[in-house]
Amino acid sequence: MVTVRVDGLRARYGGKLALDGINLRMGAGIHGLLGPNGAGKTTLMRTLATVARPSEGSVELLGHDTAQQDGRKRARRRLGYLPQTFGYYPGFTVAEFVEYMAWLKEMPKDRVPEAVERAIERVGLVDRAGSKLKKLSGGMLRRAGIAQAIVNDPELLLLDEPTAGLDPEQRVEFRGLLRDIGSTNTVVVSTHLVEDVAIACDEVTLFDGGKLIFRGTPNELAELGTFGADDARGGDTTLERGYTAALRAYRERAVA
Amino acid sequence: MTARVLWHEIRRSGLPLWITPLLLLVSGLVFIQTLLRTGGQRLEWATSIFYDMTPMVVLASTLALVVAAWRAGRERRRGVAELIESTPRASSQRALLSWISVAIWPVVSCLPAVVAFGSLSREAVSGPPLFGILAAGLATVVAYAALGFAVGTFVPGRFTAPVAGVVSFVVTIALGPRVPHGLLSVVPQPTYGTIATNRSSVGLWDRPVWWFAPAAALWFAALAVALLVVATARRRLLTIVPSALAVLLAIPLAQTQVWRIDTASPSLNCSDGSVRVCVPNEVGVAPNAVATSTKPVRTRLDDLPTVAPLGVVDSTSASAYVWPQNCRSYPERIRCSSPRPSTAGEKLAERVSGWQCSSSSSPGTPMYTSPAPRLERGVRDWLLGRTGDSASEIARYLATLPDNERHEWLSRYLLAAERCDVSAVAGLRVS
Ligand SMILES: Nc1ncnc2c1ncn2[C@@H]1O[C@H](COP(=O)(O)OP(=O)(O)O)[C@@H](O)[C@H]1O
Ligand SMILES: [Mg+2]
Repeated sequence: MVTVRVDGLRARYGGKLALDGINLRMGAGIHGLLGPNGAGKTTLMRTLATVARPSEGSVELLGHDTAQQDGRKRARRRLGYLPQTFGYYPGFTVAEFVEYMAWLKEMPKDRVPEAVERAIERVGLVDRAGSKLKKLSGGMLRRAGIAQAIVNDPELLLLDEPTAGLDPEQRVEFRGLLRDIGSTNTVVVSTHLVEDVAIACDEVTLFDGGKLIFRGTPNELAELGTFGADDARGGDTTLERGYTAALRAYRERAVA
Repeated sequence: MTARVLWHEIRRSGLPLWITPLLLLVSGLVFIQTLLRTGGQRLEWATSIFYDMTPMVVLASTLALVVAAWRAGRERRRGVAELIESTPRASSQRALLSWISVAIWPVVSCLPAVVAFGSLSREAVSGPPLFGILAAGLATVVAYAALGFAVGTFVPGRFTAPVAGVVSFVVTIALGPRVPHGLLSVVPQPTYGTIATNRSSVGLWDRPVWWFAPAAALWFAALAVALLVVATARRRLLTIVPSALAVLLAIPLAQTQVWRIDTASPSLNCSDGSVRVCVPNEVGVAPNAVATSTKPVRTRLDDLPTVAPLGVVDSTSASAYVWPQNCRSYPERIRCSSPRPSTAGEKLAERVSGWQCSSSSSPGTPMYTSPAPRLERGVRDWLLGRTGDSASEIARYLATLPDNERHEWLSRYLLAAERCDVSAVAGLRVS
């Protein structure tokens, strides 16, 4: 089932195009958005989160047209979002903040206490549930951010650079969580770290300069790198080499 | 659910900590003003509520404005705006919740002051306390909190809150009294001597009409709602026009004097009996108690029909006495000495024996000087029945006179005193 349907999407900041003619279909599973800094990943995430309006094109989420106010409202109830820069109220405890977000997401109130508890448990913050957010380390804050994103069991979960600030052990746990959610729901994860994608994602979408330049499985991306296996500039892993090769090929084509 | 979230907001807004000293400041100030400064003396309630409530309202309102302006910029300051944008909850609901959680503290900081006023009201001189005015004062604070929230929403910078606080404070303090009908004057104030002039030193406090305080409170509440709508509405510019109209409504409310003064309040409340003793309504003392206390004096005055009774209500009820209040005005307040019913007889004797001279203030007031003090004291003592051995010579002399001679003597004296004609008593025998 298609949960995200993007057609002819263009996003502008002033006169500058941050996304240029994107067409996308996504269904259940884990989708990685990959690309260098400034490629347009965050812009796409913000558009999918209904925070930014497209300059052109249409975005349909979970069957709702986000150009309509009513459609946006309905989609938002079933959405989870972790922005790249996660703002929070420092005086709130983890549990209070997650509960506050559950209220903002208009969850039925009888489901909230259990959902809050479960979300905090899933990110492994049970022993810090009563701690104020300002007392948490960077990694814990990210996990609190993920907890608020998943509290409503979102059918569409958008995570912008979620692994930034997590240590290796936490990353492993986080991937487990992603697989758990991604088995039934649509998860979109943006990252500039190729290894995140390699291990966790079912599908990779590669962006550069606001354009979609590659779509496929991690294996398909890795295959692109097998041709220049002895070219050390491409990276250490096949996936990294595939990533570099895809970018290089696209840029050469663009110049030509 | 909403209540739980509101509770988190109230507890975690970081305000309770630094609100404590402010709470103590606002309430402590009013406590000192209203309770300690009275020093056991009775205060004109209406006056003290005005002078002491004004600093309370100004302080608490400024505080409300500042914290609300600060809170309104929170989402942007904390970088949470984007996350919130992605949720379905109407932004007005969220804003309202966060506004309530900050507006509640300035209001709470006024509560001890309200208690102070309440305890003072037991000593009310000018009639029953006007708790409606307190409600209007609290509504003012709430409106300022809404104003701060609107300002903070439109200008979400870090400096908005402190600048708005300073500006508001300076404007209210410095310009407030200079603007004759400033915003604060929407809150009812005592106006001296406008209606009472035709009954000198009787009605000090022109009570506002009963509905004025509720109307003022309602207006401030409406203003608060209008400002909150401006702050939270999706199309803000559209909401500005109706809000501006709501604000402009204050002009007739503040400027129309007749809106505030209850012309019925100085009316009299009279005792039973052929000779009626009347007490102005706003004094709130039972006229029968005054009638009892003044009875001996009135009996002695009974056979003196030429004397115009003091403070006649109107020309047709010449037998009504008005019980005067004895008040002194100071630069900053008016203080009334105990107008207890038990002293009413003495007051009446003082008034009746006193001289109505335009060059000095009226008898019974501190500035009064008698042109014939010995005679005056004698008449007063006789009216009060103080004719024993220790009494003044004239009082004893009057007691010994036969009724018809005394009648003639007193008639001459009282007529002279009423006309301030000292030469008319020059030939009066005093022993
Ligand atoms: N608020 C903004 N104003 C102007 N330009 C922006 C803004 N946000 C992003 N951009 C530009 O849009 C492009 C895409 O940025 P972004 O989506 O953040 O990329 P990524 O997340 O892939 O690093 C970049 O060239 C960036 O400079
Ligand atoms: Mg980004």
